[in-house]
Order: sequence, then structure tokens, then C-alpha cells
Amino acid sequence: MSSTKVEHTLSHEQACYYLHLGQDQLAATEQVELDSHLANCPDCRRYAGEVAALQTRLAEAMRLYYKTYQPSPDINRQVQARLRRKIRSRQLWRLTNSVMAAAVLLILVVALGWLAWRIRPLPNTPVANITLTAPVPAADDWSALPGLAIFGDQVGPLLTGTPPPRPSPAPTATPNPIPASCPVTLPNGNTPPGEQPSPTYHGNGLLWTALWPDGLVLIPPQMVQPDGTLSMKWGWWRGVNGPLTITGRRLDAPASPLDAVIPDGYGDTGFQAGGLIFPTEGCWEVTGQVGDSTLTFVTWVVKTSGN
Amino acid sequence: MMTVDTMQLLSRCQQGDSLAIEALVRSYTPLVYRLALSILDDPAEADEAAQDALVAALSKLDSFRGQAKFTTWLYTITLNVCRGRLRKRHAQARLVGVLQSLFRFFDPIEPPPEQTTLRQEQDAALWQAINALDDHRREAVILRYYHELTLPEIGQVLGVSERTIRTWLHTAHEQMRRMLEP
Repeated sequence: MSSTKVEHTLSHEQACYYLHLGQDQLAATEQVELDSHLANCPDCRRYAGEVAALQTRLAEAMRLYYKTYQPSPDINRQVQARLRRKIRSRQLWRLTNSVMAAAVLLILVVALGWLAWRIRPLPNTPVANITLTAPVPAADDWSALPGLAIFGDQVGPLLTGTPPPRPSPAPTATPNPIPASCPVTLPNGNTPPGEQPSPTYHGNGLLWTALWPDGLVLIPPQMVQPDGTLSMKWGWWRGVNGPLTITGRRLDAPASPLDAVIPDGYGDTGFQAGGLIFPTEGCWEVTGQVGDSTLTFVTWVVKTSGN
Repeated sequence: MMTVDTMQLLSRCQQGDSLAIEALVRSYTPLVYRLALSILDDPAEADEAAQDALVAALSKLDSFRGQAKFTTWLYTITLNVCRGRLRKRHAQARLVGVLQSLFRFFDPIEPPPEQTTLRQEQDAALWQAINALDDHRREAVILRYYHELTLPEIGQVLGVSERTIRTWLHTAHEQMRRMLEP
């Protein structure tokens, strides 16, 4: 039934097309269609014979021709050798990549470390115990010393210890820009004997002090005295024997001279705590003196709104 | 798709087992070489191409997913290697042709005498008809009648649909039949 039906549907062109594919490559329905057509079409049967002969001739010709040649007997060894070379070069490539990656990482870490060291914030608090060359009272007692009561809590940290690297400006500070007419002194890094090096130190080999960053002294509200004067703790180091005296004057406007508090008990040489009392904000020249030795610096003093 | 033996062999090759690699190369060299020879028609170059194809296949065994037969996958790699060599050869032939036309003192390119004689003995007209086919149709004919691949397998190796292979084989037959008509 179905074969009769397909007999009428398969054209000569379609039958030729199927013949070219080879009968073993046809789907079952296609084979049925072709067989039905061939059974009733002598021309297509003849054509089928030609095609089959061509296919046989092709297969035979190729088989005869190509069988003349054989692969080299050495091919296995050569493939193995090439694979080994490939594996070695891949391993070498990986090793090179790893070494280069490690080197880049190392350079990166060193560079970051160096960068971090360069831009590190200056410490706000004392970092090490100072070696005092003279006996000093207990820290608790310093605020009770004559003349130092005005420094309140600020006195303790200064006198307990330590090289006083100057604080960084408080985040809430709104410092006035330092005018060009005020020749502020920047620290020269000259470190007092026996202290850890710090870029905030300033000295001349006989006298030393520690200066605020950029020559700018920020006075927090609690250091503004009832009479309007501005007080700030200040540390000094003496390389020569004798008592320290401190004087100062305002450079950019008329003002009362600087006042200073220098507590006793620090001996004739070495560290000497003290306090500066600026009558006003502005550009101040401060001079410390021991015997004939003096150390002078200029700083800009300004009140801040924060702590 | 694959026998357990083939899967085990491939797995061991992936792990770098040199004995397994040797076994695989020994098993598949004839097949790869025959395909390379039938495409390149140059025994020495077929030898090199077979090496290239085997090294390439072993180097990327992990990309063989097992969806097709391993031999089909290997045929595809071999065919790609051969096509690369044919492109290079055609480019060189074009260059030589240009040089010949410029200087006129090169010998024309001819197949080796022994090869020519052999073909003449066998069936020069038939080979002429085969070589007159374009690359796609010639590859389809070779894969069908020499390597005896099925139509779907030829489609996989050549990267085209079975319908396209049917059309290629049909037109190839027609063309060859016309050429071979007395």
C-alpha cells in the first residue's frame, strides 16, 4: 500500500539523488521509495548500475593507490619525542611564569611598603620611654608644679616621657593658611642624643626641640586660658649644662612678649619639659637659651575649633 | 560511542602514561596516515601531517568529550592539519607560479614520475576526475569511498550537515560521471 503510494511520489531526479548516496546510506523509508521506483523504471535501473560501477571503481582505485604507501616506522618514536618536548616547554613556560609572577609580586610588595613608609602619618602620642638624664618627679606630680597647672592634662604625657614628635593636625582643625610673610621654621631632623630619630626634631648640636608639622601650632580650645592667652607644652633637650630660658616675640604684629613655664627638677643637662604661653595667634619667633647657646625657630600659632 | 578499552586508554594517556600513549599512537597511526595521504597526496608530507595530528590530539585529549567516536574526532583534527598544509602548499604554488611567469626558467611543477606512472597504470581518467573536484567534494568522496565513513560521520568530520554531504556527493558523482563518459 505504502510502496504503491511512494512509487508515484518519487521522481527520476530524486531516485538519481538517492542512488548517488549509496543504498546502505539511505533511511528505511527512502530505501523503500527507491526500490519501488527502480522496480518500475528501466532507465533508472540502468543509471543505478552506472553509479554502482563508479562507486566501486572509486573505492577500488583509492584502495589500490593508497595501499602503496605506509607510514614511517619511526612515527611512534617521533611523536613521543615531540610530546616530551612539548611537555618540557610547557613546564618551562609555567615555571617562567611563576617566577615572573613571584618577582612582580615581590616588587609590588616592596613598592607598597616603601610607599606606606613614605606617607605614614606622624604619631600623635609618645612612642617610647625617654631616658632622662636627671631625676624627675613622678608623672602624677607634674601638673602640681608651680606654673604648670595651666597645662592641665596636657602636661602628663609630655613629662612622662618621650620624644615628643608633634601631633598631626586634628581632623576638625580649620587652620588659617600660613602667610608667606611668616618665615616658619621646618624641622631639620637633628635628633637629640639618646633619642630615636624623628623628622620632627630640630636642633643645632647644643640645643634641640620638636616642632609641629609645617610650622603650624594648633591650639585646641582647652588650651586657651581664661585671659585669652594660648598655652602649649614644649619639650627641649640641652647638650650644654645650665638652666633653660625661653623668650619670644610676635613678628607680624605688635603683641606682648611670649611667656614660658619651665619647671624645676630636670637637672643641668638633657631633657627639659616646658610650656609656651602665646599672648595671641600669629607669627611667633621663639628662642631657647642655655648659657651662650641659643636655638631659635619661627612658628605660626592658631586656635582650632576641635580637640 | 566508545569501547571501555578506548576510554581506559584515553584516560591513561591523559595521565601521561607513556605506554598508553605509545599504544594509542601505534593503533591510530595507520588511520591518521591514510587520511593525511588521501588529502595531501604526498607520502612524506602525510607522514609529517600524521605526526602533527597525533601530537595535537594527544595534547588536547581533555577537550574530547566522548560525544562522537574517537576516530571521528581524530579525523577532524587530521583534516584540519591537512587543510593547513594544503593552504601553505597552495600559497607556495602561487608564489612559484608568479616566479615562473617572471623568469621562465623554473621547471613546471609535476607530480613525481613514479606517482604519475602508477596512476596512469591504474586509472588516470578517474584520478583526473577526482582531482577536478573542489576541496569539499573531494574530501567527501575520499571519506566516503576510501575511509568508508557514513554520511553522518562525514558531516561531523567536515563540520557540515548530513544534507550538505548528500548534496556534495550527488554533485561530485554527477561531475565525475560526466568527465568519465566516453
